[in-house]
This record gives sequence, structure tokens and C-alpha cells, in this order.
Amino acid sequence: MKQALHILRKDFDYVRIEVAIFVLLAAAFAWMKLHVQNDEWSDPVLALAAAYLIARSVHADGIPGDRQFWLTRPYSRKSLLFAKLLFVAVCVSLPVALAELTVALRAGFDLKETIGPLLLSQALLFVFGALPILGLAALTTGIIPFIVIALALTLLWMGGSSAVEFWFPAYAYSIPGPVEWIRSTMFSVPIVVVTIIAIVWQYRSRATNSSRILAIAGLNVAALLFLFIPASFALQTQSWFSKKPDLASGITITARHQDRYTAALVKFAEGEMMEVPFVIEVDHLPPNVEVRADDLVISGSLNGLEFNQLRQPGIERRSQQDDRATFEVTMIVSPRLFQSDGYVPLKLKGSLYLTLFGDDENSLVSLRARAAPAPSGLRCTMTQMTDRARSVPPPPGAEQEWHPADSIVCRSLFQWPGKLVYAQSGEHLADFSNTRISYAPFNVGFSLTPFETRWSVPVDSDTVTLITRKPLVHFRRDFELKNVTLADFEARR
Amino acid sequence: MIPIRCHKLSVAFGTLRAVDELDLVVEPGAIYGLLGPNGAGKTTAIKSMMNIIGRTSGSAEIFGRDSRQLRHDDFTRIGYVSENQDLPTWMTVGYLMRYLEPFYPTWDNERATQLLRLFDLPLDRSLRHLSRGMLMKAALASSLAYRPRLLVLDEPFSGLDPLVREELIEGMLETAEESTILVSSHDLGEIETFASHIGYMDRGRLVFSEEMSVLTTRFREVEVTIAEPADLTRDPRWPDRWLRPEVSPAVVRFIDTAYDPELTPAHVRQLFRGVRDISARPIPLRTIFVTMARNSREFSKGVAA
Repeated sequence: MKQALHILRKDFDYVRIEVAIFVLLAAAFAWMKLHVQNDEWSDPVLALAAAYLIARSVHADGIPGDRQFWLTRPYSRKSLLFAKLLFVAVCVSLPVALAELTVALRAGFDLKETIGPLLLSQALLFVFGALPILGLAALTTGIIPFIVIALALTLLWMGGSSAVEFWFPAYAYSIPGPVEWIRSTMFSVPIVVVTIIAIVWQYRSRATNSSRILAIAGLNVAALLFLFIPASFALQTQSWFSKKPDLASGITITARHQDRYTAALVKFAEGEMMEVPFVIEVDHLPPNVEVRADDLVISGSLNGLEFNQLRQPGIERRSQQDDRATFEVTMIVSPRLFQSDGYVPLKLKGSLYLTLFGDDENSLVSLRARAAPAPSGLRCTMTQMTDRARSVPPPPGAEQEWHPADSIVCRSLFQWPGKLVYAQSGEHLADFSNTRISYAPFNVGFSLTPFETRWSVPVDSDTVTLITRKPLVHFRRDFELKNVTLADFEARR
Repeated sequence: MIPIRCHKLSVAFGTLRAVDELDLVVEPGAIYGLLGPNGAGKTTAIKSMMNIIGRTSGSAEIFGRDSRQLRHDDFTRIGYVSENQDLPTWMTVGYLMRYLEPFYPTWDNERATQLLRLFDLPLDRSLRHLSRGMLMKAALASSLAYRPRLLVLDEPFSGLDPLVREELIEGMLETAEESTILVSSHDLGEIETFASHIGYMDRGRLVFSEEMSVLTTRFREVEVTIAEPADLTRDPRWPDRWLRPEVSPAVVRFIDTAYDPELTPAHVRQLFRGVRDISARPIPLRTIFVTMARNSREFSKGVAA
């Protein structure tokens, strides 16, 4: 420990100017978060500066090579590694944490409620951000190779993502947003495991070539997992996190045709396609729950042969009343199917992944305050969105009238809660992009920004009831729809 | 405990065997000069001994411990100075000494001050602003201040001016009584003045390793005055150990690498007719080194041809 502190002091002396600049950048980051609305620059700048600082400290006593003076000095390898980790904690994580804390406090959050998520966020950033950077630095001989390899990896990642989106769109968009955290975790965990092994190996044995091979293998495994994890696996995994699995036991679903047999011919980037609608009814819902669809998988067969759907089917909840919810499904098929096999009975099989939300928390919130406390740690206020938001239908002959509109702005520490959030004002229920929530069990994400902000649609009153609704159970129901003949649908443009 | 013992130590880089089955023992208290032409494998061997690089086969032990198992506390009694070492040039001389002090339980501040004075090193000057000679002196001072039991110097004198060399040697010899020293060098003139043992490496192998006194006795320049001119250097009877022959009508000169006051003259008389006189004189280390290096090069050419 003593030696680690001694090396840390040396490293601090070595990069004291860079550390001072980093502290200034962290302060600028805090200022930007509080004063610039759509700040896009402070996060990447701070992340790049942190990466540079970590690499400089690691390269001060570099591992690969045979010319470093410390190799023949009584350096304890454990102390050396500990010194580098301490450096990251003290010179990188601490300024960032202080900047984030300042931002959170100034944004209206309490110190007590901020500390826990702040520490968890810093732990995530340390493990999933700083450690891989430290690992890369420990595998490179200097700052230039470090930058070149980091750039190459970034370009590879961006190029690879674009290539996958272009050639394998089914894989790129296969995971529904709420369970994306499972894919991210499956991607990040191998990287972190390999990083830890490579770092320990490097500092213990200086086995640079073996460590590099291990790192490349780990990256490949992570990339493959990221690309090819099926949505069904992520959704099944999510179901293990259900808080009240029994709630779904009596729920059934049935699929049926739409009342109106209309199929729309729609233009997509790939060409014209047919949107074939049908309906799924979810019955026997327990009281006081809201049901939402996370994903829908359909396979169809014609004369015993499977046919491909050209795109992921769309699903939207049309209504939920009493114990029944109705979802409208849009299946996308080739127009050629209509022409060639329109009269052949079609058999559709599918699985619908659903989540029930409930256990509401309500709170009457006066939005005149700068940051009014709301359920789930939210801080909300009213902000004028536009002065030409809503027109009142004018009397005949009169001119259109425009009114200013207010919107509710809520902030959540680090990450939006994994719950549905509504603002109720009279009969009006405003939503906060509830389709973009995450079911992750931890309430922080891999981000430097200490809060997430969302806006509701305009509301009339400055006193609203904020409602949050927890996910209670994630489950799957299978269905079958037989004897569909596409010729029954009236194709319309 | 033997400070350095290598047994069939080999280090290969791909197909190149930089060190090839090196057998080397450095006895306690020795000042061992490791000589050899460029590319002989001296630096690679030393780096392997110091666990800076790995090895392909064989073994190397430092004070009885496998060099691959050298721990940080082993390095509290080893000093290593090399021209190939990157010092933290952002430090000042004073910072370097202060930084290293806590690593060594035997660090002697008084001695450190003496060394800095001896080497005339400015404490407040950053290492990046020092000349190469001054850098070597700073490295040596930081390696002598804790009185290492083993001092390993890899080409410490190359490219330095004579005054700096003298200062380095003076500093190094101050520890000679309490340390074992291994020094690789091209600076044969300097090595000759202080080495107690000499090893000669070529193409990764140790060609010979002996005490200095034995070596200078073994190598002799032999001059034979003959009545009848004769060039017998290509004669199959010409011994392999007689190197660098020079033939003139009346005189034949060569270097005998295994001179024996009785056997060599007898062998000369067997080979030459009308031998008038045989004289043998000791030769400087530089001549031994050059003879061995040239012979090795000619041997290589012969093998290649």
C-alpha cells in the first residue's frame, strides 16, 4: 500500500498539468450540463480526456517493452497495479463524481438520494469504462499506439455497426428497447472479464502477446454476442426478473382478423410492401394493471412452407378496458404473395411478449416550483414549450388563434426510472415517452450525464398528479391464426 | 550463493537464436567483463538474466533464484544500468534519487550525496536536459546508492568521453569490494584495467570465459624468425589455435590462443625448418578481442562460402 501511494504520488507529479486540465474540463462539464440545453459535446470531450489521462498514467510505467527503467527496480507488481487503479479513482473518477454531484444538487436533487446512484454510476463507469481503457493502455507501448488502436477500434465498431445495420437489419434491431440492457450486459461482461484477466496477467507476468490475443478473442466474443443474441433470449431472461409472476397466470390471448379487411400497400426503402393487419386480444387481465407489448414474433406458412416476413411486425395497443386489452398488429409481407398465393389459406403462429404494470404511486405535484419532488425520485417543473402550440378552432370567418403551451419537464437521477410515468390533469393523461423505458434492475446507465430529462405533451394545469407504474410481470403468450386468405383483404394504397 | 549462473540459456526471436546455449557463471566478488562484437547476444543475455525478456530454453539464476521468478525484493540488491534503458526524463536528478530511496531498505543517503558530488550531477536539472554521459552517471548513482550486491552494467561506456568513463569506472569500483559486477562493453581498454574475469560471446555463444590473468597468459603473440622462407599457414598441420598469421620472408607472426612456454616452441620447431628464434609477448585485451572477432567473421564467411 505504501509503495502504491508512493507510485501514485509520482504519477500525479508526472501528469499534474493534465490532471489540472481534466479538473477544469470536469468543471466545464458541470457548467454545460446546467446551462446548455442540448449539450452534445461535454460528454465525449470529458470521456476522451479521461481516456488520455488514464493512458498517460499507465504508460508512465508501461508494461510492454524492454527498456522501462522500473523493470529492474524493486517495484511490487501488485503495488504498481494498485497505484494505477488508485490514480483512476482519485484523478479521474473523483473529479467526475464531484462534477456530477454538483450538477445533481443544482438540478434540485438531495445529497442523500444522490449519493447511492452516484456511487453506483461511478462504479459502472470505472468497471465498464475506465478498466477497458486501462487494459488497452497496459497492452500498448505508448500514447501514440494507444490512440491509433483506440481509433481503429472505434472505427471498426462504427463501421461494423453500420455494416450490420445495412446487411443484417434483422439482427441490428432485433432486441426491443426495454430489454436492450440484457444485450448491453452480455456485450460488456465478456469485455470486462477479459479486461480484468488481461490486466492482472500483464501486471503479473508481462505476457503482452498472450494478453493481446486474449483481448482480441474477448472482443470478438462480445461482438458476436451483441449481434446474435436473439430477442427471445433477452425477453425470456427478463421474465426471470418478474416481481409478481403469478399475476399473469390466468391471462389468455387470441388472434383474429380485423373487422375491416384492408391491407395497405406501403413504400419502404426496400420497395413496396403489404401491411396486413390483424388483432390480438388479451383477456382475463387482473384489475389495476396496464398491459404493454414488448415484442411480437410471427411465423407464417403457406401450403406447409414457411414464408419470410420482410420486416418486424408492428404492434400497437388500441384499447384496454375492464379485463381485456386489444392490440393491433401489422404484418408486412411481399405484394407478390397476394398475386401468387392470395387464395391459399395461410397459417400464422406467433408469440407475444407482454408486461403488466401496476402498483401505482401517485403524487400531486405543483409545477410552479423549480424542481418539485415527484414519485420515483423525479424532479418536475413546468416549462413553456412554444407560444404557437395549440390552435383553438376559430369561429367561422375568424382567424386561427394560437396559444402558448406548457410542457412538464421531469428529471431523473442518471437514468429514467424503469416505470411508466404519467402526468394526469383532469381527464387528460400525458405520457413521458413510456415506450423508451428500460427494465434494467439498476437505476443508472453507462453515462456521464447525471440526469435524464423527459418532456410530456402540453398540459393545461400547473398542478398535476404524477403517476408511476412499476413493471410487475414479463411473460409470453403464443397464438395461432388459421385460414387467413390474403385475397380477402382489400389492397389499398 | 553464486550471483549469476546460466546453463544452456537460449533466447530466440523467431528463427534467430540471439543467445544460444549460453553457459556462464559469475563468481561472488568478480568483476566480469562480457565482451563480444555487435549482435553477439550480450544485451539479450543480460536482459534475460534480469527477467526483462523471457527465454526460449535453459536456465538463468540470480543468487540461486530462477531469473523468471525474480521478485521485487530481489531487485533491492541488484543494480542494473544500461544504455538501452529509458529513464523517466521528466524527473530531475534530485527527484529521481528521492523517488527511488523508499524502494531500497539499504539506501544510503550519505553515499548518494557522495556519488552525486563525484559525478558532478546537478540536482535540479531534469534528466531530459542531461547529456548521455550525465544520464549514465545519474543512472549509475541511483543504482549504487543502495550498495547492490550485484551490479549489472550493459554497455555503460559506449559513446562516452574519456573523462566521463573515468568517473563512471571510479564510481563503479567504489562498490567493487562489496558487490559482484557484470559489465558488458566494447571498451576493451577500460575493461582491461579493472576486470577480474573475461567472457567472450559470439553469435549467441560464450566462446571463452576465464580469469583475466589466465587469459593474458594464454594469449601470446609469437614471433618466429626462420632461415628459410616458408608459408605454412595453409598447411594442414597449422594448428587452429594459431590465429592471424603474418608471414614475411624471414619472420612469421601469429597469435597463439593457448600459449604454453614449452609446448608452443616445440610445436613451432616441428613445423618450421631452420628456426632461429622464437619470442612470445603478452598482448592487450583489445588485440585478443579483435583477433577473436576477426577469426569468427572469417569462420562465418568460410561456412557461408
